[in-house]
Amino acid sequence: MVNALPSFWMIPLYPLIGAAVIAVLRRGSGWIGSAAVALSFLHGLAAAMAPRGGMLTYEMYEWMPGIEFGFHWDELSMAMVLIITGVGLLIHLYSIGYMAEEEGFWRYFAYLNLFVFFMLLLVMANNLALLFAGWEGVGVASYLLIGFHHDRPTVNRNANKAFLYNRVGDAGFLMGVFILLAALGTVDFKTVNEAPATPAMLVAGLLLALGATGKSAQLPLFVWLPDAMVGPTPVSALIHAATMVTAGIYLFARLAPFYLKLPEAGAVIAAVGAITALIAATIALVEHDIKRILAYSTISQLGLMFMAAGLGATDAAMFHVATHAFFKALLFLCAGNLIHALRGEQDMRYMGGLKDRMPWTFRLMTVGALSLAGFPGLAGFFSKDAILVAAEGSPWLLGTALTVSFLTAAYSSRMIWAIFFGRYERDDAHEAHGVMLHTLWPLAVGSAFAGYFGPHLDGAWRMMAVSGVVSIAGLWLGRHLLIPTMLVKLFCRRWFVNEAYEFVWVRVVGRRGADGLDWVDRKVIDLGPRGVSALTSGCAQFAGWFDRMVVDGVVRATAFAFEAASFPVRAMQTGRMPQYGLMLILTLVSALGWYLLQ
Amino acid sequence: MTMLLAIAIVGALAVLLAPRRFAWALGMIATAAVLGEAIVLATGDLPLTERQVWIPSIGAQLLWHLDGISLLFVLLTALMSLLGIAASPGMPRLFYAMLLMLEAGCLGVFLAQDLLLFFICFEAVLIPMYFLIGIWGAEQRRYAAFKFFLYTAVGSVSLLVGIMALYLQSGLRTFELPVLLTASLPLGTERLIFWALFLGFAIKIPMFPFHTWLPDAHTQAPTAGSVMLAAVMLKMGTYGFLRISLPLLPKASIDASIVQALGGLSLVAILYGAMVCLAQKDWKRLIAYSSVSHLGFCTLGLFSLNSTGIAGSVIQQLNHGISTGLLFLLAGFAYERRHTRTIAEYGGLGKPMPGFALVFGLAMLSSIGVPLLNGFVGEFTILRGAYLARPWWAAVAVVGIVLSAAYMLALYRYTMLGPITHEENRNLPDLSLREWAIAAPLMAWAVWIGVRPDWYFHLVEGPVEQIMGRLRP
Repeated sequence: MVNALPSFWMIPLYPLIGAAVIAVLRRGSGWIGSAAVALSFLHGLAAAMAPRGGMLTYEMYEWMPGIEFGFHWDELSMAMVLIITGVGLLIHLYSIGYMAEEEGFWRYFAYLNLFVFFMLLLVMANNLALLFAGWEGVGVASYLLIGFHHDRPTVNRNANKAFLYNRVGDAGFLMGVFILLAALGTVDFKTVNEAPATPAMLVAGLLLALGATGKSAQLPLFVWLPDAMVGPTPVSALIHAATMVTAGIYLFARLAPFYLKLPEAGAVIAAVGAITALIAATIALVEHDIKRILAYSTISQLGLMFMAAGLGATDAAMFHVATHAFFKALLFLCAGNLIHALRGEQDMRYMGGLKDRMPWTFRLMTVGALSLAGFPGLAGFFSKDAILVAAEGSPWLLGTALTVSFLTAAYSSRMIWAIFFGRYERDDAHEAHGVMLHTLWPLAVGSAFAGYFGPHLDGAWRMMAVSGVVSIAGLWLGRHLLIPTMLVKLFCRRWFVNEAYEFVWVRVVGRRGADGLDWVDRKVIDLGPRGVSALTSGCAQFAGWFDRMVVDGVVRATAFAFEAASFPVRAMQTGRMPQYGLMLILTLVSALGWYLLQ
Repeated sequence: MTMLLAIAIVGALAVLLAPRRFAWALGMIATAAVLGEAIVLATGDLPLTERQVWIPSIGAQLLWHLDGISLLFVLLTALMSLLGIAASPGMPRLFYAMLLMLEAGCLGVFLAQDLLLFFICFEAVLIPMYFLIGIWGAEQRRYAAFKFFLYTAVGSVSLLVGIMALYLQSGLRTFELPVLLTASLPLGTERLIFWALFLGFAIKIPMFPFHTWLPDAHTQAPTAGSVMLAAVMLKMGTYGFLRISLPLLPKASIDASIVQALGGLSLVAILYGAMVCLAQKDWKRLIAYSSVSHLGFCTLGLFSLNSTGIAGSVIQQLNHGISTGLLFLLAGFAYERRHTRTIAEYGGLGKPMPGFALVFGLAMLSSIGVPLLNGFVGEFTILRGAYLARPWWAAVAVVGIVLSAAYMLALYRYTMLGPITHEENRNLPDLSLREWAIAAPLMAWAVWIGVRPDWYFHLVEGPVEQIMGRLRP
């Protein structure tokens, strides 16, 4: 067998070629797209198996001054590539069933392939600038896919919102990159990780973290993710649960030595993660829309990962990224089956009693929910435990993390009870079949057993026991959920974060500000030239008047004066000979008389 | 190089003399020949110089010079002229002749190495553009043409004063740029001359607050006119700063008050232009204001006064030509179908015109600076240079990339996406083969610069170093 390692840089190319082929052929797109991702997966797997020593780098050319267009391959990239292409492949296959009846089927797969390309670029880039190319690229793909059903109401608005909130984070990210570029001259990970800790580096670290809060939907930029749920459900599973939103955590893991030197930045990141995790978990507790519950759950879980990454436990964070990819993708795809079966219904209040109608979806989703809740023995239990162990040093963070675990278990259980138990009042539910069912099995296996392949934790039994008890208590409580009304209102309004942003950015800055400046431009800035032109034309009018009245007046007055002066003379020149004769005689007589009088 | 101008001018005459039905084809042939000649020059050795005697008594000569920076603008001008003519079939002969004259003038500006020659070419483009807007423009064409002409004429007068002052104050009695470089003027004089030249270039770019002619001219001009105006003519101002102000007036150019003023105006242009875009209801007007914002990035890069910023600025000028040129061409295609520029009249065009939506989407992404497309390379390098110059410049300017995404996505949403709100839009034909052929080279160029900008950085490296050599005290 050929060694797949030296050609590892080709891994992102397959989906890119796939997207191009789909766009040209527009036929058989589901299978072409899946095959492209499968090739990436197999290539990645072969490269992972191949023996290698340390990190592998492949630099192609100088993209911009001091910035290489280069890829690299190490444990972290390998793990991410396998998650992205593995889960990505399952979701591509699932989509063949899910999207079968959609118009623009090929467009969907072209976008999805494009997304995988950018995501692979993100995790394989060997410097921050190229990582940013993937980072923005997945944002574009996410925008396109959220807006896939662009003729439905609110879809375009939410797609724009997702892109713009990400762009705010990206602006911060770019500033961080500029600071690093100015200080180090380059931004490849090796140099950045070896950089000394200075105040400038701290600012750079925080700005990069701002970028991460955008992509990974954390405070202050998390509000776009729940609204992104208007996209097709497999998209939510792949982009907004398993892969793209974990990019922020990948960034911290990639720059782990850099952040280790900046404990202040780590503290901020951990605090942001903890607060976001708590807020999102409370909202998930009172949501009714099944996809939005999962979205808030994702935000909450990402918060836990942020917390771990901030505390320097990037292994624990990446472990949770991996298990979360399995169980959250599983939950989303199960939700997709429900929505598909109920003809687009997403509100849990209109579900119930589906246990017997959709037995396999029920079982699979329960596995996912239990794993999410951290039920002892399942994948989520081990990865969450790793995070709890990391938080042991700080009572506040540990307390928050345990509270979040409890709430997670509670809303997971509430969701399962509300959907599958109780009375069945509909007549349209049917079990999923074909690719929409069978692609879920590998995910379920991962959700159940992936925990046994993570970093080994020694002597964490105490924490495991606590977390197990918390999880089971939450699951038990979730069935009989009673929450004070006042809190429900607060949670239901999502802590008013969204409203505040809407007010400031859309209403005040976006609408008033833009209209105001437009008015200024038309009425004030344009006043200069218009004033000058009015002045000029006024001057011209005046000059015209002056010309007519004064200059011309002088001429005419002169003419008039001559005319007036000439009147007596003219009166004499009549052309009549007798008069001339008379004049002649008179002149002679008077001259003669005057002479004589002298 | 003289060939470039000669082909364009002879082409203009030929178009006027030939029968009307051959006019379009002749125009295409002439502009294609210019483009071919430009590509031949691009593959040859740089830099190139040609010199002919012109008016020896006052020290003016026909001095043409082609280096990396000029080459990029010459290529852009040649391609845009070809596409502009290709996008306007069936027009009168005079229209094509005017476009060819315009092309000749623009090429002259980017090649001239003699200040008097530069000034004459700088002026010469006004006349064809005035007629293009005034005769073949939209409903308010006479107002727009007049405003454009007067505004730029004021700038030109100021520019002429500046050039004469350089000529007289240097005491060298020559207009030759390389010779003038040896002159050294006192700071006070340099500063006065700088502001005189500034007015000429700032109006042309246009910088805030001299920009109000631009939205009117762009909106009223015919498609080919808008394309030439946005893609090529706006660059004449930044090119003037780059070629004349910076190297000839180095003391004034690095003077703190001037740098701060110019940097500040650039920042205002970036944010203000972008904010005003958000309020626009007219498709072409929105793109016009986006030009104000993007050119703000270009001047910010120039006045970062480091090689990164200047190189980024040159590349971004090229990028702006490509992406905004494409956006105006697309707006023109839409106008030909529906005869309106009001954004609210569109909506849901993606359904009947998927190809158009695809091209427009790419143009939008290129314009808002998504990596692996051209816009990112320029903006990134400019911001990097601006950060090196003054960190807060970059911090303010970076807000511009958020706003640019906001207004372009809004434009895309209200024209291409959503349900079809006007019945007339339901059966619009998608891009024709000719329109695809016009869009394809620009799309390919955008991707090329985005993925492999190294050739471009290499091309501008030498000339930028020369300018930097003048600016280092």
